[in-house]
Amino acid sequence: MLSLDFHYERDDFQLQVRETFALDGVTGVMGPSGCGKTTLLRCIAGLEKSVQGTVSFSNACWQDSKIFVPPYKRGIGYVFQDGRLFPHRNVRDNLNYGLRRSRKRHGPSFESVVEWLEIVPFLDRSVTELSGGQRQRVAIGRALLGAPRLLLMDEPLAALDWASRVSIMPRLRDINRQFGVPVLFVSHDREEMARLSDELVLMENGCIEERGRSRQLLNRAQGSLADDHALSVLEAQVVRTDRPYGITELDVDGRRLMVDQSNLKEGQSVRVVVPAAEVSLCLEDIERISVQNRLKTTLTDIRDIDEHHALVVLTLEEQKLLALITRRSRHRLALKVGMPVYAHFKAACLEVV
Amino acid sequence: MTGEAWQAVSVTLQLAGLTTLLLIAIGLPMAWKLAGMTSGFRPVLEALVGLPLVLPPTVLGFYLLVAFSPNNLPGQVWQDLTGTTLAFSFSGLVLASVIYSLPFVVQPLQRAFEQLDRGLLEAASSLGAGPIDRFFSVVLPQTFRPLLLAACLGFAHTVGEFGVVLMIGGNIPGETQVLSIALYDAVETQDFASAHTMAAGLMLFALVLLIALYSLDRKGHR
Repeated sequence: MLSLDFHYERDDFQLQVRETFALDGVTGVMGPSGCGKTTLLRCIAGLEKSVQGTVSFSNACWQDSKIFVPPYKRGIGYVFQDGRLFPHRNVRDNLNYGLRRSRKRHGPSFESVVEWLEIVPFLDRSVTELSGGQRQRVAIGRALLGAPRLLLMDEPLAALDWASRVSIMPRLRDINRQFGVPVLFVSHDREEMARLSDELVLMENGCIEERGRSRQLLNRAQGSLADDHALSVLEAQVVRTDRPYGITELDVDGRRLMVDQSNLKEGQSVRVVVPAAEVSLCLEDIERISVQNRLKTTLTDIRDIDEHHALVVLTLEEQKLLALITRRSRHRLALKVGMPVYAHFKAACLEVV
Repeated sequence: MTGEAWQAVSVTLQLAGLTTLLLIAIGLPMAWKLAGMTSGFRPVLEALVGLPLVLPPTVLGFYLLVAFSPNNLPGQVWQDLTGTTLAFSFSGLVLASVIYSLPFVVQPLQRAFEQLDRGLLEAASSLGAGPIDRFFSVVLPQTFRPLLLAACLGFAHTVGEFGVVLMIGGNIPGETQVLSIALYDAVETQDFASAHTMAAGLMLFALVLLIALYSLDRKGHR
């Protein structure tokens, strides 16, 4: 448990936080750039000195009016946006840096971490020869080998190209399950958050505006995330992977969902990210249509979000799905709360983590 | 070369060696503090350190001579502590050389520390490294070349000093007579053979050291 009650000021920027985080799983901190999310992470790590107030982590006081525990005694791991690998050490020695200094704590073994991150082939390379994605994987490994009690990650994917992101993303989701380390993850990218976070914290102008379970904050038609980039997150189980054409069949609230992803295992729990703009509505069940995913839902909320668009909340059994439609369609179809509606979306638009 | 000349070589090397060690010991923390300093006091400190670069050595030598006198506080304190005088002694020479060569060590180190990526130190700290650990595991490996450069500059500059030594060291063979003074003496007494040997020796030493330094510098920039 992480308890924060502090105030931080620099030039004309202010950060004011009074919040307690349970920190089970991945907690995502999201907000526009300049909202103070990186500063929040730095204050928790002890990298900002002029913090006034208290910071404590599971019974240990890290900071109050008398105490300031320096970062190296906090037992944290920190993954920086720019990696910050030591250029004078090769990959192996970078990884060992954290390991050597964490002997007292029980952490993951060197072998397990390098295999999991798939960095075995370049252990003896100089860090200056690595690609961006490789560097970031080494940085994550280095932080994990320090046996952190809390892992802080500051936009670790922001500087990477799409391919590297796709290769690292599933691992980030895995850190918590695999190593049992609570993760506090900062990003401005909504899709990243939808894929990774269990709990979501929304920041604006140096304050925490809202927080809650990710699914609840994302899958709704109001609040700061209800705009034309809205997306929803569905929890699903893999039912069959042996369908023709490389299609995998998922179960969401008793409904079938087709995704064209082939690296999944039967029985696995996955998370499906559905951009609201990709979902279209139909009042009757049409069979002869190329769209593979047609889910029967109930319309439970509808709101106009700007001049042209409306967001529709569709409830399956318990889970919710967002659809972005035009206000014209809203009136043309005479959509009302309580109506049965078929949600259509293509298999190809889905992100499965 | 005469025995006296060899003595001068020995005194010079001892003086330069000891001075360099002290310079590193004092200059390192000084350069570190200066590099991290943000207050308006910084240019004043930088000017004080850099003073020997522009002052005629005789000015510095004169003030040191005054300070070393047992009648004044620094000389008196030294005498109370050790029972010897600073003026015209090897210890006095070392002290003067340290002050005289300080900018040659502090300035390159300060520049190196200013260019050091502080982000790496934060990363080291997050991985459990305390300040001393960070210094040896990150700062030193990252600034090894400038450190070597600073040490060489300090050494060479101490070997090359003349004015300050003349003012405060006098000319005691085997104790305070360094090569540059011995050379001056040889010329005064028209012993040109010795003068040639010593001058050529110093010249060769300076040249070799500078070539080594500049090739080191080039490697650092590659």
